[in-house]
Amino acid sequence: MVLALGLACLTARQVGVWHDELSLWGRAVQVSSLRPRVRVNYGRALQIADQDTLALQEYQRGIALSFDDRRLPGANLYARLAAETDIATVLIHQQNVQGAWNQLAMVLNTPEWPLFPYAVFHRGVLEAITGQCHAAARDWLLASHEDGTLVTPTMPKICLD
Amino acid sequence: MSRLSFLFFVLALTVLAYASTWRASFVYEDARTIFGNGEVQQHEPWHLLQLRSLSEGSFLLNHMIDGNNPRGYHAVNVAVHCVNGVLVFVLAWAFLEPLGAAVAMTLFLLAPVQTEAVAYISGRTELLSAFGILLACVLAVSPPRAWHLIAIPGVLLAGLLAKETAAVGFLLVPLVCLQQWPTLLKDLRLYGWLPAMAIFGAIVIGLAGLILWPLRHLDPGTVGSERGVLGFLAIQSTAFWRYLPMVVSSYGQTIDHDFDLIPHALGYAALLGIGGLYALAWKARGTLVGFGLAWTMIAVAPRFMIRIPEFLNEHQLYVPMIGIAFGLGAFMQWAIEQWHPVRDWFVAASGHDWFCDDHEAA
Repeated sequence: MVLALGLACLTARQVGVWHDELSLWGRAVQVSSLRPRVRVNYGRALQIADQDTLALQEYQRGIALSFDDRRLPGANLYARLAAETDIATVLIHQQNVQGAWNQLAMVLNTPEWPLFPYAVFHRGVLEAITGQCHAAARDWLLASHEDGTLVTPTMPKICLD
Repeated sequence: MSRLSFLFFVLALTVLAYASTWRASFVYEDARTIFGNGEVQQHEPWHLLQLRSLSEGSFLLNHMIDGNNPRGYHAVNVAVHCVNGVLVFVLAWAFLEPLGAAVAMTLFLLAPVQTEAVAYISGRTELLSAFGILLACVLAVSPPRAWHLIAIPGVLLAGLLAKETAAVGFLLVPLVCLQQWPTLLKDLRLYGWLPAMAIFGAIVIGLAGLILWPLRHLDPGTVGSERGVLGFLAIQSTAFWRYLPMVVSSYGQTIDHDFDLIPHALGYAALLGIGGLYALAWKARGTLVGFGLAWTMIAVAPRFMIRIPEFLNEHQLYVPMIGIAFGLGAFMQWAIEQWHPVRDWFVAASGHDWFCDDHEAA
């Protein structure tokens, strides 16, 4: 009975970590503070919680950590491009369209991964916002072809009209 | 406290421990599993013969009942975990004395390492595949009936349709049978059943291959391709050893561990240790602790063989945990039995004989 009660307390405490993205990735940052992907995902959690400034800081940390050559080059590249793309999404959220264009153009200029699907997808979002509906549809198709888990969003009203 | 009331006590504790999932939201890949899944969102028809179709079917049922409200999804996860806990108890009861079976069930239901599989909605695939494996094993140790010949492969196949790693069930069921009837292989040969079993095995492996065939396109990804085979095995071994203390401690638990920075020497030492565990499982075959160890090592084997792009995650220890819980239950039972004052105190304090061999009495 003592074993059961002790384990139940530990488990209940750990279950609390799974409450939401912020608690989940906040815990991950505590345990794996040097892991770029963890920083990027914590940044996304902060961004969802409307804490853009803190999110940007986490993305920058993720980018800085992704140059650690003790890690696999592929994993580093993915984390870096994801963080750079996420910075673009913050800029979109802040309605800094030009800044977001420049940021995404930089990501898509990466010779190792010129069609990074997450960046192509968000370029489509920018195109849809600015009324380039056909280009947006093309980019979303391209992004979902590269990564089948990316779901094509609904076209904004400006395109449907 | 009687044995039955202890069982309900542990189940109630499990529900209490996971009660906060009632207010939890979807996290991480749940968005892809639930919102980004056309079948779950009822935009596309659901098909039975596809990878993880039963898990998707269960998410679809959740969606039909309560839409995208995470509560129902979490409640089903906790309920399946509790059912699995009862099945672990029933399976352990076939081999262990009441104390060992109770310890095995308690560890399985309440170990902190299980949190990821249960509190994470996407962990349902692990829960359902474990359900298929456990039910098949319980049927295998129950008094033989003709319909078991259909039911056992049937539930294993159902587990396989929940998650492809349930393929280990096709090895775990024979392991359970050999533990229950040590002379099984000899008897089968005696009666000339071996060819029939070989044909049956071939059919089962064929079906499993059919389910696993879509995995052939799986991208080996960063872990598999850049590290090489030994590097991959070393990092998976490190993860396994890291998660073992989480059976009784939540220290250092997280969704994303950082094994990249582990020194290579440590990784290879961990790999040697894993080799040692396989050797130990073979050496201790026939004993109850050896059975638990063999279960664990068989259940974790796909993680060493299939080079998926991710490290071994905490939730992937759900099925191996059955063997760990069984082994620890058997060990604790043996240890207390050896020390008579503790045994006598234990019986006096609980008011019941937790060491009575009910099977022999029956």
